[in-house]
Parts: sequence; structure tokens; C-alpha cells
Amino acid sequence: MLVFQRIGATAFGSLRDLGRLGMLQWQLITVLVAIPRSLRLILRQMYIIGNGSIPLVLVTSVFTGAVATVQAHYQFQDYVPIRFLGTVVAKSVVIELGPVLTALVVGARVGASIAAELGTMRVTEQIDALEMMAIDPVRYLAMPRFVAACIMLPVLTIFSDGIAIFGGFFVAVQSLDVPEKVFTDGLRFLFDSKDVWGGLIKGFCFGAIIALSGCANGFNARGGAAGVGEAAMRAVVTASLLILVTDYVLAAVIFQVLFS
Amino acid sequence: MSGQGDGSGIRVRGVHKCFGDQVVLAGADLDVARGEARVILGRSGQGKSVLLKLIVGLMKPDAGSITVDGQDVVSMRRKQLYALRQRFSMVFQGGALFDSMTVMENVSLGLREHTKLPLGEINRRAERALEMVDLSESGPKMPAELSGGMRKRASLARAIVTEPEYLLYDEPTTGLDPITSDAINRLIQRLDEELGVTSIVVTHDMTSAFMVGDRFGLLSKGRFVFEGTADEARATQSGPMRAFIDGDSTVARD
Repeated sequence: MLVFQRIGATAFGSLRDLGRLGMLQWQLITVLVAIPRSLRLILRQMYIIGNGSIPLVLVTSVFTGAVATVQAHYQFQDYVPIRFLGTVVAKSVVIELGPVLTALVVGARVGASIAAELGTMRVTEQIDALEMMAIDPVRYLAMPRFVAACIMLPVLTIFSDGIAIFGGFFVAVQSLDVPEKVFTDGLRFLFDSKDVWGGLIKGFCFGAIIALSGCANGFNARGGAAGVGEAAMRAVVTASLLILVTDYVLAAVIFQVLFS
Repeated sequence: MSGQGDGSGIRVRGVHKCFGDQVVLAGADLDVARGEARVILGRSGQGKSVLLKLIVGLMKPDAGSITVDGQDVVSMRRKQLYALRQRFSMVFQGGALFDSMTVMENVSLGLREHTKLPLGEINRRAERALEMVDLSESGPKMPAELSGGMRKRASLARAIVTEPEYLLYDEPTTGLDPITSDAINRLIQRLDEELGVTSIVVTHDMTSAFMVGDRFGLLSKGRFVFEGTADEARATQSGPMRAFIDGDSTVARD
């Protein structure tokens, strides 16, 4: 029985988490009109989310591109001409690896930090203090983070795409002895700007997920330091899972319906 | 003090509040007239802070009614609640200063958000509020750099800068040394006299209570078991109020 109880409790907890995300999303939409007067707060969050994530995304992307290149080269063997190496690397990076890996690493960093910050504000009554001052916490705290993440994730995705392709190029030329021109011609071959746009739409949606998950878990933190830790963990887990699920849904919607 | 007949002031009737199995308030009644300084006494965990949060709609009661100047708080929607809260300020137990902002930014936030005053005027008022609590030097500091007593005072400055009609204090002297407590109490007295606000002070510090309160209420097991003026409280010879004043655990336990 205990097993079923646990399964039930986990399922209920997940549904409740999703419900909270949905509710917060709705509240956020209603306060988007306040964007013009919140520009300063949004810019500050853009700086924290965007600039702060650059080193992390840089390292992740260089190695993503490098691994993609090495693996593709190995898989090609003698069956696929090496001039397609650049093509495969560019396509996989721009469509999939860039947006998803950026979202996962930035999600862990930013999601946890938002949840911990707002969670601490919750347990130290700072959110009550805002409410008491008639300042809507959704408008003042969640909305700037949400807007900033929706803007900065596509920007970081573009950055990641460029760095990953450069990483791939570097490995191909330096260690796999692929001639520069062969790789760059491969990059251009079959290049379609729709792929980049698709990746950017993904980045936008992932940014929304990261901020929503961080804010919802932070706002609902309870009970001191342990509660804040729990909120940060839930924020990262929820964001990571939702990013992967949404990635599938977006792949189907963007590339099979929208761009087909 | 104005009368209660016209509906002005705060009126709490039969308020119940539970958290899970734990009953915190079980039919509490409270009347606070305009201009009054009401002290709510009670042991820890008797629902004093919860009552404050119910009055301003930060929590909803399970049953009962709460009105402020005749307006029903319980049924208020968000917008109305925000309008009501602009007439209130609360000094939270831990200060609840925003720790990502300087003391000055903390104090001026309410004015920046709710008024169209020029920045110079906002800063001037914030500085004046900080001066009132003897923190004029601490404006540029972050809350983490302040001591416990300074945090409470900064929180007080943040509460008074918007010139509220009602000031709620949640244990303003808890955890402070006697000298700092005395300074805070004098400050509360001074604010009552100079700004003419209606205040509710939740505390279990009797020295503080006698210094700042006009009327006392003692909360026990979710209800008020004593109501009266400071003199009446002092004069009580028996019962829970006497036990509370004397710190007598043999009577106060039940």
C-alpha cells in the first residue's frame, strides 16, 4: 500500500507544481502591461541572467561542438563523404544542441538562483512586506525575471550556436585533419535560416519555463533554510523535465507544422 | 479616541483560523478605535502575528468578519486590498528589509512605487524618516551590515515614510537588548504622538507594553481573555492577565 501511496503523492505533487506554474503564468500575463515602468528591473535581470551565464554557456558550447564533430566524424567512417561534416554539425547544433543544452545549464543556474532568492524572501517575510506595501510580488519580482529570461535565452542560444560551431570547426581542422574549406563549405551547404529561427523560438519558450519554475517554486517555499533548498531543487528538476518535454512538442510543432 | 459606533477603526468579530489540525484563533473579537495604541499580548504561538496578517488581508480567516473603517476586509479583491494597505504599514518581526537593496532604497521604495513625487522629494522624505529613527548615516548601507536593533529601526523608518493611518508592529522589541528596546519603545510613543496614527503592537514584552499601550488585550487559546486599559491591566489581582504580567507559569499554562 505504501508504494501506491507514494506514487499517488508524487503524482499529486507534480500536478500541483504544474498547476502553480499555470496560475503564475496567467498572473504574469495580466501584469505584462507594467513592462514600460519596470524597464530598470528588467534590464538588471537581463544582466544577471545573460551576462552572468556567458562563461558557463561558453564552456558548454565549445565542448558540445567539439563532441558533435568528433562523433559525427567517427560515425561517417568511409560511408558518408567528409564534406557533410560541417553540415551535420551546424544542423544538430542550431536545431537541437544549442538551444537545449543552453537551456539546461542556464536553467540549472538561473532557475535555482531565482527560486533560492525568492524563497528566502518568502521565508523572511520580505514578500509579505511587499504585499503590505501594496506592491504586487508577481509584478515586481516575477515579471522582470520572466521577461528577462524570455529575451536572454534566445540571445544565449545564438551565442551558444556560434561558439559550438567554432568549437566543431577547431576540432575538425586541428585534430581530425579536415581542410578548413571542406568544413566551412559543409556549413553553408543546406544551411536554412529557418533552423536558426526554430532554435530561437525554442530558446524563448525555455526561458519562460526557467523563470516560471524558479519563481513559482520560490514563491511557494516554506519553512526556513531547508524549505529554500527544497524550492531550488524543485525549480531545477521541474525546469529540466519541462524543457525536455517541451523540446519534443516544439520539434513537432515548429519543424513539422510551422516550417513544413 | 473616536467611538466604534460609526464603524471607524478596526473591528474583528468571531475570527477563526486553523493551520491543518492546529487551531490558532477560535472566535477572537477585537475593536481598535482610531488614534488608539492597542497592545496585543500573548504567549508565543497564540496567534498574535496571524491576527495582524488577517487584519490586512495577508491571510484569510476560516470564519468571522474583519472590517477596517467599515470596509469588509475578508471579501476584498486584490485591488481593494492594495488600496487598503496603502493606508497601513507593518513593522515585521525580523524587520523584513529587502536585502538586495540599500537601507535608503528600502525606505524610499513605497514612495517610489505609489507616488509621483520627484526623486529629490522622495529622498528628502526618506532621509527625514531615517533621521527620526537615528539612522541618518546608514542610508547607503545594505541590511546585512546592520545590527538587529538597527534593522528594526530601519524597518520602522520604512513603515512611517508613507505616513500611514495605521501602524502594525509585530514584536518590535523581541530579541533586542534592554537599552535598544527602550529606544524603540520611545520611538513608537513618539510616532503615536507626532503622527497621530492608530497602532497595534503585538508583543510579549511587558515593559514595552506598558510604555506604548493605551489599551491591552490578552490572547490565549485563540480568544481574548482580557480587555482593558493599561491601568486596569496593572490593577488586576488575579486571572490570566495577572499571571502574564508576573510571568507565573502555574496559572498561565491553562
